[in-house]
Amino acid sequence: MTDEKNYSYCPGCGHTIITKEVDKLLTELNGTLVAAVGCSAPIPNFVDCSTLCMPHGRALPGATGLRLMYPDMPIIAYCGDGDALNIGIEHLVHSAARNMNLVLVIVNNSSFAMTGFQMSAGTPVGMKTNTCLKGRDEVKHGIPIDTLFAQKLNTKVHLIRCHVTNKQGINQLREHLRKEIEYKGFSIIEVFSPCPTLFGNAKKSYEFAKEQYDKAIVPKCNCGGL
Amino acid sequence: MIEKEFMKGNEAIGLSAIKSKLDFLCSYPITPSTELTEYIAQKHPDKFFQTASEVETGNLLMGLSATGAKVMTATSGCGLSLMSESLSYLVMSQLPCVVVDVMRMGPGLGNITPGTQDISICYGAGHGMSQLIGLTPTTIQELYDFVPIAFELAFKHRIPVMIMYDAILGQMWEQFIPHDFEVNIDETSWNINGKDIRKITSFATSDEKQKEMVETIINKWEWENIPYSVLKYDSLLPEYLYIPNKPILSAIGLTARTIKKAAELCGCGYYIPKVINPLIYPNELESSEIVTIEIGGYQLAQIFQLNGLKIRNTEIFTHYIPSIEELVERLES
Repeated sequence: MTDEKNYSYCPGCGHTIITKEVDKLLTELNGTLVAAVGCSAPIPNFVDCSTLCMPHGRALPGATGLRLMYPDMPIIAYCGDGDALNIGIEHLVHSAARNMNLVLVIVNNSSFAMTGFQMSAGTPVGMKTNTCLKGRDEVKHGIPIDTLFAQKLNTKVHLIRCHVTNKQGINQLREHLRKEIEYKGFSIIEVFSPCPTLFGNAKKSYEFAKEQYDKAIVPKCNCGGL
Repeated sequence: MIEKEFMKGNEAIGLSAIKSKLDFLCSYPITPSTELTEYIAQKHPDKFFQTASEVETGNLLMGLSATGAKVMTATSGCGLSLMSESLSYLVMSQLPCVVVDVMRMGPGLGNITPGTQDISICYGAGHGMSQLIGLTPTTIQELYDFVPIAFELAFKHRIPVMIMYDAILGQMWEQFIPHDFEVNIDETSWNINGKDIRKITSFATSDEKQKEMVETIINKWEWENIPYSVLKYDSLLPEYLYIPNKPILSAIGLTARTIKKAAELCGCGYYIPKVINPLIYPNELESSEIVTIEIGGYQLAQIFQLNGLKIRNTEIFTHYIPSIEELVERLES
């Protein structure tokens, strides 16, 4: 990993931990990281592995393109929740349907953080953001999109949920990444991650991310079983 | 001696692409380009990927060409609009690919009748006015011949190349000679290959990087780069007849074939460009007035004006390619 000062993430951001883990794994396996636009857009400048930076929400088609040419290369697509569940939901649905041999890491911080904390498809009902000051309203804004749908669509899809709010969570993420990169199908690793800068209170942002993880349904089957 | 082939325009492109050692064609069905999609899907299913939408097509092109593969897509009107974001990214990330655009009529859904209205996309695909190389063949022989050239230009300058022709040229059958050829591409040093560390991005994180990236993109259009390598191909040189003090007729695609005879009957000259960006024209043309014959819009006239040519007027036909008689009648009136 290059000098940590080069990171463009804010201090305490969950992205830093996740990027480090992904980079370490891919550098070791000589794989490729496919990033999209969001807080993770400058990834190519500070990771050691090969990277391809795609347009907003389009990490999955980029990774699919690489996969078509290199059937055995370890490939990880790296998205935020806005990336994967808002603008790029089409690609998530089709990749799940195709059971494409890819790993998709969704860094879910419940908001569009790079643009300054707006509501995304990962924002839970009641959470306040800059585009829903009174909190997300179920009637007005709809309910958040749960990645569980991908597994309902295709039972071969692995859906894993973890968090990076404590050491145990980080260790689990590391193990899941190692395991899923071997799987010859589509794996979604949804990581609940804090946004300490924009959440208002750094400590609370960690508590909130953990709470989201605890609330989320962790699928019993096909979860890669740790 | 090579036997002549008798094929549809879109299929001739497919044949030529396979002979150019195409790695992948990814596309979403859209009339009137579907024959190319079907040709590759049926004859070479291992080289074909059907996408979920044109948005996916554009981004899949990016992923595929990042590996240094020869990739191509077939599209038309609305499909091209959906891909324009990716085209802009492809230009800034310096990735080569070939986009076959079988032009149809109109803004919006328009119609599936022929048109020549997409050509200005070569001068500003998507945001950031990203320029692309645009080839405009007029016969099926040229459709066949331009594919290897498109790949060579795309890889030499790391830029997407458009092959643009109207729906009729894509749908009609014509005889052509399927020459054998080789695509000369230098070894690539930028592609993701699973061995070396390669980084492909269109995002500039510092002022210096931004300066370097923008200068690289702009420098490609300097005389010694793209225009110079385009001039090296004889088949890309324009066909023209210059008569002093007489108007010059100009058109692209199938219409270009009717204006030659019409020009003879009216006693004027003609100019048929085979490359729309960079536009190649003889110096004499700078002093003459050009009459553009277009199907649907003023795009060709705009491009000529942008390149410093004088436009006398534009004859627009709205949904069909005019016959020689009709063209002469319109020009005389």
